[in-house]
Amino acid sequence: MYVLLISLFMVVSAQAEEFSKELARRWADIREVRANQMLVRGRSISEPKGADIQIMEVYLNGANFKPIKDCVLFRIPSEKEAGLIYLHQVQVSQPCEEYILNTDTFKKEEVYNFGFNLDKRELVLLVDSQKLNFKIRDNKNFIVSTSRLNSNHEFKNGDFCYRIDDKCEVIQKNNCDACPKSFLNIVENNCFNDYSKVCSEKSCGEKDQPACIRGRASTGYKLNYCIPDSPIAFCREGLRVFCEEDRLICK
Amino acid sequence: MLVHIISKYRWIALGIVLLPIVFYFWPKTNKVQSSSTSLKVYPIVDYWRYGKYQQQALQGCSDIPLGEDFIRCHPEPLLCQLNFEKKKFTHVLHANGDLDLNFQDTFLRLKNNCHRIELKENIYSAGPRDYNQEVWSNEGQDIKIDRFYVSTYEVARWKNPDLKLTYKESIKPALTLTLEERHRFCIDRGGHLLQSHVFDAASFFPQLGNIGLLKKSFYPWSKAKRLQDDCNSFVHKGCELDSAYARVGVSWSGVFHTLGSEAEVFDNPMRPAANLKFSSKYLDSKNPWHQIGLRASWTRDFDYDLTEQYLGRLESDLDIRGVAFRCMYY
Repeated sequence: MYVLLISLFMVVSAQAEEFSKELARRWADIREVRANQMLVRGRSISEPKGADIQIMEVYLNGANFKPIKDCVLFRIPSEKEAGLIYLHQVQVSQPCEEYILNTDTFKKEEVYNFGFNLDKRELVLLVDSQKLNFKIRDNKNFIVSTSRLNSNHEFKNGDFCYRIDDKCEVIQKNNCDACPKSFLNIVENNCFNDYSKVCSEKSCGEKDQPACIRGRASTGYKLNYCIPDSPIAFCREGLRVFCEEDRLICK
Repeated sequence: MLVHIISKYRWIALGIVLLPIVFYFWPKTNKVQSSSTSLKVYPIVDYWRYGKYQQQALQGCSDIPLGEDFIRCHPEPLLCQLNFEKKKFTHVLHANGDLDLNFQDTFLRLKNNCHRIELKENIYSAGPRDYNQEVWSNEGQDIKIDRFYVSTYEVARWKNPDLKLTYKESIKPALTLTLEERHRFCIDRGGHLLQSHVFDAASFFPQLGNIGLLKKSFYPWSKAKRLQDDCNSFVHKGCELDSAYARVGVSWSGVFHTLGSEAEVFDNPMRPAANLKFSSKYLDSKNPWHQIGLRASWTRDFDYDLTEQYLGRLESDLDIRGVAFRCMYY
């Protein structure tokens, strides 16, 4: 019995070491981490018991500077079954939800407590008694490429340089560096966690320019944004907010 | 007989012997010349970000002292370092301060982000009053703010990219541009002149929860209404200020010069006339203008209205001796 317990302990600790080693290799170059907003950081994830949920998406630099991501999924421990952390490495555009319940992948079994802490610089996984730290490279500070940057983008003022849709999904990648000078946020749909951007050499709120954004959280306004004098935006003195082609503009 | 055969086929024999040797060395030589993976990106990025250069690399090349904020995201010391390491590259410095480095088949763009902070997502209110005046929120907007004033180096480089300034001249705050020039400068940097309500958001202690009970702080260092009149808390009359990069008058957000230092102009889309922070190093520490959120007015050229625009109680007849500014970015 004693020998059996020792062997079981050795198997579990070897697996834990293998898991942390593999993660250290895989996550040596994290660009960004997007965590499930519903989860409380620093606490063990314990509800709903037995369910499989998405914990986070870890964005990495793949081969040839192509970004990829790791979907981190977790089966929450229940009375019947221990917890299970499992990862899928996928293209950035693929939704992680598609891999929920697909546990035939890189994983760590026999997990009883799993939580995480996250700030701009570091991701910390709390796995039972282990604390695994991963540095996050601040990718906003540099771009590396094998081809000349911005060579395919020639924007003029008034062009969109970044665009999102109603569901906050990116439909045009951010290339605002390729604007002639500067750019502005513009309200043009029902996404309020992100805004499309247009190249502009003017300031917000000026005539024929995007209205300055007052925000939804501050106004509590939840109805259709696309109305004259929309409360979620404002213009300079003497001008009014109008909604033209679904965009809030000052006239 | 054997000598005859060797002599007849000696070139073929030599070829057979040399061919594998040539094949062995050929790919290796080629690999060294064309490999882009031999470029270590992160040490270069870290030089740019943190300015921890080798002292020998800067000798006779750059007079910027190590450890100063000014050395970060500055092209001069980085080029010194890369030349010292005998790296082969070409470079392009963009108007917004980004630096492109071209190492044969790898391109590296270093972003000019070292002196900016990102404003946390929250609900904010502009102006000095406690009640909910000029309330706004920045969820999803990604607003970044210059932590320091725009310096004479940045303005000199903007007006004439070839102009050389000494370190001491470079780090002074830029005080003399017209209002229109300041707008243009920030637009050319890929941003906009800092807006007054954004500066207030970065200055007042943020409030979480019920904004109906908004209570504003007087000073950037604490919520308590207690003056700290040392020269680090804020630069007032009797304190020295010779650098835009001085770490003084800091607020919770990491923005410096939120109180005291120089008078500072903003763009105020909510209340255009309220565009000048008058709290400055020319006023005694107990002067009532030293309170965050207060604004005087700079209309154009040399026209100033030194009446407080929100409360209306304060006035001044002090001469304005230069106005600082900074930019914000979406």
